[in-house]
Amino acid sequence: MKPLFRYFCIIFMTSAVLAVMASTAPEGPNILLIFSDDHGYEDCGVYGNPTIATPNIDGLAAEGMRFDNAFATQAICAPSRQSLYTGLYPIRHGGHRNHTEVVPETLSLPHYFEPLGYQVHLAGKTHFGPKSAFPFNSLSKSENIFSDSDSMISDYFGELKKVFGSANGPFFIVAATSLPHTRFGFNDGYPAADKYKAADIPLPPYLLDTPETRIERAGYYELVSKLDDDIGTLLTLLKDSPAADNTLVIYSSDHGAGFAFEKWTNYDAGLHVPLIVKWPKQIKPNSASDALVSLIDLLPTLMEVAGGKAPKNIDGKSFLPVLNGESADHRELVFASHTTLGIRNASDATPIRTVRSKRYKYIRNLNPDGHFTNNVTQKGQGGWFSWLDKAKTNTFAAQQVQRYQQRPAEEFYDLLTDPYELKNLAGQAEVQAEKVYLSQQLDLWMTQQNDLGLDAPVTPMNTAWWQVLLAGIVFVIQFFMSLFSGA
Amino acid sequence: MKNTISPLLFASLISTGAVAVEQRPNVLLILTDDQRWDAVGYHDKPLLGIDTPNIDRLAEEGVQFNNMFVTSSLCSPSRASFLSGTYAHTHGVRDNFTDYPRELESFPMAMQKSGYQTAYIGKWHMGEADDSRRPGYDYWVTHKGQGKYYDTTFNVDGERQTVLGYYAHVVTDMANDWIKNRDTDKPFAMVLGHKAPHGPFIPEEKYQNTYDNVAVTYPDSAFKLEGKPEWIKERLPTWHGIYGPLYGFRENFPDMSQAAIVDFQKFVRSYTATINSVDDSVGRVLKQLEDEGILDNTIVIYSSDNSFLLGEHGMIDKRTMHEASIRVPLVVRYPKVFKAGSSVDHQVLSIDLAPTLMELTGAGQLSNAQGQSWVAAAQDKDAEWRESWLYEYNYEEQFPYTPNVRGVRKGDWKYVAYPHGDGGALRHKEELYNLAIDPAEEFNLVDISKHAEKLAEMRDELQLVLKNSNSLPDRMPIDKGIKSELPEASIR
Repeated sequence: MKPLFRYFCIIFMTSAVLAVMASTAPEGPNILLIFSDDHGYEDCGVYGNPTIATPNIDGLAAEGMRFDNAFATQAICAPSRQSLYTGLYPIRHGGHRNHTEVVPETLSLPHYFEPLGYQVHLAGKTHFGPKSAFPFNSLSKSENIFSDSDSMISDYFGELKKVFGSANGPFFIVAATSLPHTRFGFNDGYPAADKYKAADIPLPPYLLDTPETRIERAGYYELVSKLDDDIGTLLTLLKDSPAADNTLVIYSSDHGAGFAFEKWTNYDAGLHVPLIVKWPKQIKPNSASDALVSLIDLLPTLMEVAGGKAPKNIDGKSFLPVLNGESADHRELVFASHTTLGIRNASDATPIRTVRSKRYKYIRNLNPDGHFTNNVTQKGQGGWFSWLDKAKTNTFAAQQVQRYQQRPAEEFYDLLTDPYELKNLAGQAEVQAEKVYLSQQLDLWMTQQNDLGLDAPVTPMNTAWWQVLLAGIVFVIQFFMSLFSGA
Repeated sequence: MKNTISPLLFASLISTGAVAVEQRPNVLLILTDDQRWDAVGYHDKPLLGIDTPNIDRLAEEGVQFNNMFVTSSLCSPSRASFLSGTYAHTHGVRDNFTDYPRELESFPMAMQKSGYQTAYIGKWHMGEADDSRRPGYDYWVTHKGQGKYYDTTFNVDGERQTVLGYYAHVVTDMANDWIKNRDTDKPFAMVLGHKAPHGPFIPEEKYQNTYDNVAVTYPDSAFKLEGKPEWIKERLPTWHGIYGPLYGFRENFPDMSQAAIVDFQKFVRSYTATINSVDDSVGRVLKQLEDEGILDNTIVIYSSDNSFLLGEHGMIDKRTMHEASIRVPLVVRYPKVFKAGSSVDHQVLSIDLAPTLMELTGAGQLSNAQGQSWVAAAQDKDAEWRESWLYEYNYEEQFPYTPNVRGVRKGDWKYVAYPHGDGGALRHKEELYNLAIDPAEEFNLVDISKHAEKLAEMRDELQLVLKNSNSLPDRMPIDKGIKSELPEASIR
């Protein structure tokens, strides 16, 4: 198929679909989806963290519904975001390798919502492509897949205020901030904290307790609080606008933070995300749901909220019945994958596939012989180098270092008795029935997804020459800075 | 002389009560506080993989009991049962604030009368604020209440003094000194009472990181509360539940988040680490006995006053009749009678120890004893043994996290009732378990119609064991419900 002809076909099909949808759609509420970057489920006051200050996120939960079992499809940026916008698992949308694009014909949020009468805006981080698959009305400064990696909601307060006050039909705004992602060229860990003392930070048990890890964790907390401040300002702007009473507000994140056993892995600290939905007069304030949901379910859910029909050919399923209190449950299982290719400082592929029920998780590591590396192991992010030191004298440290980089073929965890996935039960006789069941479900899902596992095709990285150059310059500068700081 | 008597001959001498005074064995009862049955290295699956080489030595060279239970899972009542061989109903020490009755005969009292020199060293904990000498002990060292892991103030045989150091080692020093300076013309009986692993657990410095590398998980049963009595769910956020303050290991509570397990992990690790010091103590005392040349003529018993729930059914602490609350370690080293490395499956009880020791030492019989000597049963798996036994606990207003408990174990079956205390109908759901197929007590069968007949049988059996133990009319406090308040700081 010639590119021009294919492009024409897509436009034709899309417009046909949109025309049908538009003719039947009643007007829904405004939707404001606040989507953060690398914010783990636990690192939030309303999810039980006693130390971190997130009064605005907590306040949103007090006015809406908190989801305690919401999961990303992959614990890495682009694949997770592209899943959110398309309602498809990463293998199926195609951009399952980080920094790669979806299959060009893929439909996404703007395609689905414009026919429903919505003006669909994106403010902030994109990290998706190609543009044709994500035709947001972009408030962003740039439209390249790598662009706006540093953008924050605060960069768009002016534009957003205008949209809040506009009379051009309901809006759907995705406010995608890059907080609380690591700063400074994205691979040098977290900044120093003022507000939090490293000694006061609670460390989950999979993180080794070293001064270096504590300092970075405190810096991450600081960024989460900065994120929360921005959300506070944004919600005040909304509150003071005509849209205040008719806007459904969602808060969620693409995946967990940039420490070992979080982002880049299929452990819960990577996949388990905060999800809060406020919908004035529709959702009971201060409610909570333990229904199992995936971020791919947001698209169809919101389409139903908007008065449309959820598409049948996507992976996501609407959980509107949970939002309006008609149902307590949603999915029996959620799935996730990880390619590990394309992430910074990656080794050869060590792909992961996972299925999780409310209680159990089964992980299959497709290349158990592979040695996993990333920014953590190569750049020392999250205090990793201090872990290597500790591993010389401490058995637990040695175990953690080993199991982070070298994964067994199978892992199985009981999340109720072992929420931090410290004890792999894959070989234990008493869980074989559950393990076999989940393993079969995973096979089924991989078949449905046309997932070829180790042979799954990956689209090439779309790195521009100037990005390579920029990375080189940054590296040289850092190298010299490290010389000075060392002296 | 003492080394030339064959075990068989010796056993027969004992059983006829014809033990000459100079050959009579010494008795050393090492009694810990709140130690689980699996918190020993010789267990199939030791808690956190704990290594206790010295306690294990007792098992290798002695007899281990695979089914040892306490008839009341609470310090004072259980200690009184160990000493007197009677149920709490009989000895009357119904809570942690009642002293051991001065006139109630204990095995040390009886042995003292029959020519033994007796010593009590360490934790006594009956009669909270009183550390004065009790009848039956020639040498007396204890302290008020719970004592402290470091620098406890003891009444050392009449003289109150603060002894600097870690509890387990301090009492071991005193025990060894006493053994060294004893009257060698007389046999001795000593109770060595440890504070460990009672809360608030403070491990010795050298052991405080021993379990940092062991993954601690909640037991499955913490999440299988369907079909259980409601009070078990009400206990979850309290002082005795997994979401509560965990004896101070958790600052913000109740905490039902997944991060709550972090505090629980510290709690379990600290608990376990205190037992390593007790094991060191056992090693030192055994060496002392060896050095004195009297090890093989000493009956060394290792046990605990009750067990300790570490998350089972969402609980911590003890008091209930669940396995993790009542199942304690028991090993006995006495090579003249018990074969090295042997094990016993009979269900033996706290109240059985005193009658057993009376038989082994030829000190006669305790007139009140309700337990029975297992000297024969420990050597013969087919020996006649009791078919059922009573468990009792009385509601405490100071610790309002467990109702009154009356239960019975018969063979593989366990039935537990929670009487209100007014003699009227039960207000809590009962529990019924078949331990042969459900050792973790995850499936309460009380509502399953298929087991209605068994339920009726067990209800009758409870009345029978109450009657047979002279416990009727069955008086107990009124159950004022499960409460969220914390216990007073002074009695924690």
